[in-house]
Amino acid sequence: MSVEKDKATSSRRYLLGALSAEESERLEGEFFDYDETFEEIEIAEDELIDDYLGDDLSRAERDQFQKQLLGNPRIAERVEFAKVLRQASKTPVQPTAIKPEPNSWWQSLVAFFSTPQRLGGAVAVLALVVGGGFLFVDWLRLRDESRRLIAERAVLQRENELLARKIENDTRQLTNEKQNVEALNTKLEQELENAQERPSPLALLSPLFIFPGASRSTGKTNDLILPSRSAMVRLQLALEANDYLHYNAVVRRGVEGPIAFRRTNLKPATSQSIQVIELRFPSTRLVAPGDYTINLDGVKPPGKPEFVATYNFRTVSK
Amino acid sequence: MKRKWTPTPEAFEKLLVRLASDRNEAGERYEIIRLKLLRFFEWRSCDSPDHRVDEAFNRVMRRIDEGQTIENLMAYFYETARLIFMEWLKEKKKTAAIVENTPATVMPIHPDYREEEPRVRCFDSCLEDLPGESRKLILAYYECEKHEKIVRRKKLAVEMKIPMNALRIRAHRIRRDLEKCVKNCLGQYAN
Repeated sequence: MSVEKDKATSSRRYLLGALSAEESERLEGEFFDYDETFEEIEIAEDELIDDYLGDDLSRAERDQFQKQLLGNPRIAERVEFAKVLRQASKTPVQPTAIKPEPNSWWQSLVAFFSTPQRLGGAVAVLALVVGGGFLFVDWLRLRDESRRLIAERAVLQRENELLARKIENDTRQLTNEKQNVEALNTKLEQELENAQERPSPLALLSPLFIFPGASRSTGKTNDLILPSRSAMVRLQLALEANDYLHYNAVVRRGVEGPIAFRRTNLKPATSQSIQVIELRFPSTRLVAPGDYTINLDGVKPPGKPEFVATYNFRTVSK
Repeated sequence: MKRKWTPTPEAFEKLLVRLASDRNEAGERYEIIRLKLLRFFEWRSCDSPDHRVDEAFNRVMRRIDEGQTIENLMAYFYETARLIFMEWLKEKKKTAAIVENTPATVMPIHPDYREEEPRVRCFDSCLEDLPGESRKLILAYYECEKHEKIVRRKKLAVEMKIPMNALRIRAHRIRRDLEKCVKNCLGQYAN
């Protein structure tokens, strides 16, 4: 026996008062917990009423039904309802087929036009259908055209959006590339400048240590002996005090002659326990042999450069 | 003397909260429990089942209101209902000792029931109000009798491509709605 049938039988017996006390309690506990069980008992009640009216109950069941259920006004009321329902179900006028298989369209059409009244009506309807048909076809054409235009507009709009996005991307890319090129140019210019200052790896001369106003204070000339080939000159300018953040040096031929070399932002270093500013430049900058002056300025931001000291040296060819 | 507890709106609110967090859902659950309790007392042939349903609700509401922990609310409802039934049974036995047990009142079923006409009218009207498919189904379901009935219903289930049990449930629900409609309609007649 299937579970469903088993439940139906239990429910039926419960309603007839034929279950044991334990079985009844089990079923009651279940119908309080599960709505499905409750509904199953209600269905059993429907079926008992129908069987009672249809004389499908055994003698014992009939007695139990009358004793257990029929005294209840609600059940009595339901029995009355079931009687009407049975009566209505047996009336032949009522359609009884559920979702009947549909006939083919032409079978339905032939059946429909089988009476003269319907045929007359059909002619009028046909005239309307033909006239309306043209309008309908025209409407369909316009609807399709309208749909096509809407679709085209949507496509164009989408294309415009994509194009605008592409232009925006290209512009951004070009701007980036321009910035890159500018940065590269700046770097190249700097490299070029540095390369001009450092034409080639040059031999480094021994440093010439110079005190401020050396020739005056020591009485001896600071001679820079230049080799025949180009070399890197090293001048170490002694500082009496280191009071500035950085220094600028200008090397001139003579006292007020042309500038041979200029360097800014120099930082002091220590040489032989003395703080010095070291200048390095190619010997080619000292084109003519003779006296040279170095003016050293100190810088304390944000102020202007201040004069610190003057250094003198003389170039001597080897 | 022990005072009788009377339900308060707050206690009812607490019960609803216990049934479901959503108020609408709680209301639906309340209706289902009420119906189950009512059927329980009816199927056990208790008299005044409505009164006993109210008593069951009052007792459960009181426990919730007093803050008692109830693990399985549905089981608690059932136990309360069973207790009320036992009390009724005990009372009935006492009464039976005084008065002779009268046989259960059986409502006579006459084919020419006086109220048949309004009932038929109501039925026809309610049947008309049903959706087409439901109307066809309910009439087809009760169309035949005896062995033909089974064959007819099997055929219906096949036509509708649903199992027999699903057909039973569907027919029951349509019938339930139809009965409710007829009952309401008859109530209007009575007024």
